[in-house]
Amino acid sequence: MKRIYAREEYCVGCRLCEIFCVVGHSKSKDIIKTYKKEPDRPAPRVAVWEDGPLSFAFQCRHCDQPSCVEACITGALSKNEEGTVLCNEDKCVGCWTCITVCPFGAIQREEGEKKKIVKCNLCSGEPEPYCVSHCPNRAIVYEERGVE
Amino acid sequence: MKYVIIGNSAASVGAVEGIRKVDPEGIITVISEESYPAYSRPLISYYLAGKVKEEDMYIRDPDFYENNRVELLLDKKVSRIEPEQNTVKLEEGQSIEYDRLLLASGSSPFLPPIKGIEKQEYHFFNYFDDIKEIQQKIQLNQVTRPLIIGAGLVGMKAAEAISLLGLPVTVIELGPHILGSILSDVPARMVQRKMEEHGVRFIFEKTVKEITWGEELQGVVLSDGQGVLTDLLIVAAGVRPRIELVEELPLSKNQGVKVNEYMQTDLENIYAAGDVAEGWDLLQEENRVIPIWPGAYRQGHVAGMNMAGLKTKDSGGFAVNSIGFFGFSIITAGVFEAREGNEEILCREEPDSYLQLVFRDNRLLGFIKLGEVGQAGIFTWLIKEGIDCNSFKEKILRPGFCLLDLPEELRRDRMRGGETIESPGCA
Repeated sequence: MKRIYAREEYCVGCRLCEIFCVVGHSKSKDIIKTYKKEPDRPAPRVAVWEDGPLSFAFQCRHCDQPSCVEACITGALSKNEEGTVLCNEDKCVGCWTCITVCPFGAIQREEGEKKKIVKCNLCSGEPEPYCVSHCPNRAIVYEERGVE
Repeated sequence: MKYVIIGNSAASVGAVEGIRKVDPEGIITVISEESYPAYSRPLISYYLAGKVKEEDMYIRDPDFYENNRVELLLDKKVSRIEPEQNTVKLEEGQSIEYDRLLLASGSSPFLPPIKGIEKQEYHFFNYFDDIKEIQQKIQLNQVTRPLIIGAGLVGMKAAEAISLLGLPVTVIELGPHILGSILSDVPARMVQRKMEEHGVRFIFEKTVKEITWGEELQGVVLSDGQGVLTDLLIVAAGVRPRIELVEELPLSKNQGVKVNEYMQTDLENIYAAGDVAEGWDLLQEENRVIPIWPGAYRQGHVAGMNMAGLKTKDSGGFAVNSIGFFGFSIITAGVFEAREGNEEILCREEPDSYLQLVFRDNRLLGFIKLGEVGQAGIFTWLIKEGIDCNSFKEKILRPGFCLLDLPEELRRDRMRGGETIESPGCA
């Protein structure tokens, strides 16, 4: 399946991927409205890790055998036929069991009062995930790499 | 092929999904003593506290059984297994044939020997029906002084839920601190303080000797003679694997039923998974019951695939728990104390968080993480893979430890993820 991969040699840690991830998961999908008008601004599903000159964007790997789906106590997490690991946010209770078992540390939490996880859904329905299409350096790519 | 599954929780759902990955045709029958489709046992305290509605208790969509062509028998109790005939006999007399049988009967709550308990109404906190009874009593304003026996995972979730309903909860614990199965003393005191701030009261190192009653439940007498008044008694004194159906069968069992790496018991057509099974413990290197939800699903899934003919080895597991009280989170995995004496224990304690790491030969064996949640799965992965942490051990202890802190080769391996690296499965 196509997955998102980081190319750390091109990442400058600008965090535009995080910004556009938020936009892509907002109601309007408009950057100004998302940040200035909409009350429930979603949390980014991608995180940029940075230490000096080293930085890269990281999100769910959509594992073939996802530990998080096995572990989910509510049935909120599932893997669909395309292979995307999805979270039904209505069912998530914020027990953090998935975070406890995700071998990549790739699951994020909603900030503030909402006690739920958020995770990358590969921007279902979009030709390319927002983080990928808005990265100015092509430091995030969306491609089929198969088994290396 | 005829598959029969006794039990209808995580291991059972895992088995159905495992079987159907391999065999779309075979006949699957699931037998449950309860009256509900598979629901989440960990959510019952959320339900009682009003955080989850009944329709969100179910771990699969309503059409799960239909879509997987499962005949679901609810409110049916198995009276015995007849391996010579390959049949399971129900209490009401019906016999069901199987080619492959999965015992996923789970565990049942333990009732400690307490004088007078048989004469009085007490509640467990394990099944949906237990919670509905408790809920009804509370809603009818029949409860003013709830008392819980046992400060383990179940007792503490009960205490939190009932406290959230505005009632002053007292907990009696035999051990010196709460959550003895997952926490050492210092982090346990930290969690205890959080709970006390919300009005939960604890009495340690005492047992309940006797229950006193008049017309109704009045209270309990503790081992030191002290009396505690109560009008709602919840027993949360641990669980025992439900092996009664195989007690007479010629297969190995200790506390639970012993299974091999294919989740098969000594009888080749009978498999076991979940709280009833003694699967492989990766850290203790022995067969042991590890009664956790993710492990039950994983074992059931592996059992299902093997039952359907696809030889699949279970990787084994270890204890992993994520639990929280009043918004304060606790994540633990593996071992939390020195066992052989050559372990190295590193701790970082702050007012609202705590991290404890246990290493042996530079390999992480377990952790306790309080008050901060993020990235905990990387710790679990380090344990599972037995990774030599010597070069980055100090970084693991720091707040915000993440993939960046791994040596380059390991980090690149994690960043690729997906197809190249098999997810280790949950513990």
